[in-house]
Amino acid sequence: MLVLGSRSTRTMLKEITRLVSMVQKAKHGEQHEGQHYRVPLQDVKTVFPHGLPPRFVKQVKTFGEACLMVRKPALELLHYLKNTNFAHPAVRYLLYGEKGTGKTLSLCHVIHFCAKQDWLIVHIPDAHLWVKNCPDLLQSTYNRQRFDQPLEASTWLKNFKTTNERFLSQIKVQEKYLWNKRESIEKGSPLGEVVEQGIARVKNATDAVGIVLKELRRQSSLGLFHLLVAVDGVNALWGRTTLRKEEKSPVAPEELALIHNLRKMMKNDWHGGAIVSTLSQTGSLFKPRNAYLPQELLGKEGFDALDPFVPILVSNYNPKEFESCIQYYLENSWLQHEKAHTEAGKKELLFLSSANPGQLERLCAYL
Amino acid sequence: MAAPCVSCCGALCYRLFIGSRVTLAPRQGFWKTAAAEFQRGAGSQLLKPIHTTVVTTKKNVPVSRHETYTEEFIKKQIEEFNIGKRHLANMMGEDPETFTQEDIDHPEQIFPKQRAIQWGEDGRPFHFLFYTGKQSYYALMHEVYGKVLQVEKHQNQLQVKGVLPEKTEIRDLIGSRWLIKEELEEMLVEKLSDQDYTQFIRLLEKLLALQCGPAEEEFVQRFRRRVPTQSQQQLREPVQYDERGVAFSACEGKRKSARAEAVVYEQGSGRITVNGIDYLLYFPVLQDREQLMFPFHFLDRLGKHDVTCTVSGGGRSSQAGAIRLAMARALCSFVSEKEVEWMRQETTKLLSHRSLEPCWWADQPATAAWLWSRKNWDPNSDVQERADWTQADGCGGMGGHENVCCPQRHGVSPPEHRGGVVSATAPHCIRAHVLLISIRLSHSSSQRVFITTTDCPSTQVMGCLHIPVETDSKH
Repeated sequence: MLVLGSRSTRTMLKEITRLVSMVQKAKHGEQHEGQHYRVPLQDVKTVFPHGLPPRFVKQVKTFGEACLMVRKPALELLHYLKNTNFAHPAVRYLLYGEKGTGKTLSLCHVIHFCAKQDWLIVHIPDAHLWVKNCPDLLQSTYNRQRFDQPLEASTWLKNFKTTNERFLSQIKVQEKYLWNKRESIEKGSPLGEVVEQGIARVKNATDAVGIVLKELRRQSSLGLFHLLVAVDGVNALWGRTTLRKEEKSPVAPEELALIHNLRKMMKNDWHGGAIVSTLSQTGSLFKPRNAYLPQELLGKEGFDALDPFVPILVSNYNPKEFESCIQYYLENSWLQHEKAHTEAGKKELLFLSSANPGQLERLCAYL
Repeated sequence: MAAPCVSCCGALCYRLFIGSRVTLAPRQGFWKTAAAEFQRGAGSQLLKPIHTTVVTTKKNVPVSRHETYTEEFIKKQIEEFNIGKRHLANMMGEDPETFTQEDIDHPEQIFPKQRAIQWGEDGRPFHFLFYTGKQSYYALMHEVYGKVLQVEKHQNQLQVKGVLPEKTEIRDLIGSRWLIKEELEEMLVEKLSDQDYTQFIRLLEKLLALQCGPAEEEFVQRFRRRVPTQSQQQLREPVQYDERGVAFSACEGKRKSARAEAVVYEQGSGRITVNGIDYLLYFPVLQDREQLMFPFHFLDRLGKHDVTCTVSGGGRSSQAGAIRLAMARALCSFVSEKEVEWMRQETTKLLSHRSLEPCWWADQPATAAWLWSRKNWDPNSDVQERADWTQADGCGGMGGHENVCCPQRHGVSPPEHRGGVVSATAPHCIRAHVLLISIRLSHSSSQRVFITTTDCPSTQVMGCLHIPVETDSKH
């Protein structure tokens, strides 16, 4: 069926089998299910400076293009988002599923859609990174009981700036904030200044993040912009940390300023946007490998905090999607094994990966 | 006749205890060589009723020459054999009536075929090849060669006539093998050499290579034995039907210490559930899933069956192997006979359970032996051990060396022996005087002491002791 012939035929086939890019993005419908669409590389740089999973980033670099598959969970979410009523409090959507089924990439799809619709994106790529492996914990200046994480906060601020450049000048701060005796932010100054301050002075980065989140929450309710809060690995907010204080006692998540602010963000007491999050077992701490349900991963506390939410299950590929994925790899000459394009070979791949997207990707990397 | 009875019993006991078939070689004085009846089936057909010579060493048994075994004698022996059998059954605590012959061999089979005397009263040998030394063998060779010539002649005649000999099918020689040398010897009641044997087999193969007729075939088949076929019939599990009418088949499998039971449904989409968990989650390692894939892949039925299995014991890899075996067996019932045979022949162990052979050749399996090396030795570690001067290691007798300075057991010599002669005795070794020939004072905390034995002709340095020295000023 596929003729891997000359380059021109190959590119032609690419156009035929795949739905091309952003102009038709808003019109992704059910008939497009299973097909890939290409995200322009420019968009990848702005919208996803830190959002894509590392393996996907490698794939983008190898293939020279970023292609996401249109799948049912993402379509469902897009449908909901298109029909949001911005007067109501923000609805929480939770993507959950087994390991490797494509939750993060579905989230990325949604983020891209919202970015194209001119929403303001607050994207935390992996909340687990904030609760583990932080060598530097400073005691917060704002609140003695909490801890700051300067490095993580400043990295996030940088990426936030890249994503939402155009908003930073538009949004004005509505309160005066005092950094220290000499520096302060006046009321009415653009949000960009807060971000600059956070990036420049790493010590105040966490507080800057807190300010940003608070302002955004407050102002999206005013209706100036639509806010999308996208958190990957939301179960980190209510789990345990591996961080320890100097006296070797463990740090609870609420003692981290970043986590505390994020939790406030996840509360649906603001309106004018939506909250989309994913559960992730991969980076989670102290959770068994088989756990994937919200109850298991969030725990009682998290579940109560997030309740009510709209759960969306992300499952393995159905046969059509599987076929499409294999075709995509074949077109990009990723599968070099001679049996890869035979029916028998495909059946083998299907069995071995059990139609799990993550497993399939890892398998195909060997072929 | 108590003596034969006892000896009969004795023979039986002997046989039972060794538990195997032993040809009673001509045990001196015990049994006389066999009678003519026992010569039935001997290779040569030209033997006449015998006149035996008897070699007896027992002084009590009268030497009787030229005695034949009469019918009554044989009958009596059989009666005594039966009595003895009953005695033995009583001894073993088994029921005499149902005492099987499997353990005990009937007298007919005990006595080996032996040659009777080959010449008549006038001293003239019966067989025309007697003076070759191996008369039966050469007679056989002669016969086979005769047949070869005959067949060749027949073929030449056919060729001359222009009638080409029909190509007969290749006979199925797979299920049989040639006689081995021992079997041939047994058949001919003659000792053969290896060259004789190979010549014979070559000749038979030559005969087979020429297309010979059915009579020759039958002749050749006498020299072939059936090989026990390795492919036993695979037990096929019958297909069962559950309450919804779906066909399934359940089988067990095991590997190492893992036991698995698999239920394979005929219709399905290739889902496998292990202990209630999806196989992708149960076996995160690719290798295990490949093992599960193999039976289906081999039969090309990858997406067609649903499987539910339970497994316990063993480790990850052995559980995968056990499930694989169970699935393969279960699949047999959905598959035709031919495919089962093909499965069995193509794959080494898809349908059978193989396990590791226990290590019978050594006390324990190969483990790294502990090897002393100076690099790993800590001189401060065994300071506290006292050298056991009155005891030696078990390696006595090694050329008179004493293992007093065995490196593993460095010890402290009592300080008062320094500078003197320390003698040590060993029960197994030669008593040797250990002379401390030099003490080198060094700055290190221990001193090196060289030890030699004076009893040995060569004064070899057997080793050195490290003796920790208290640095006292007075010494």
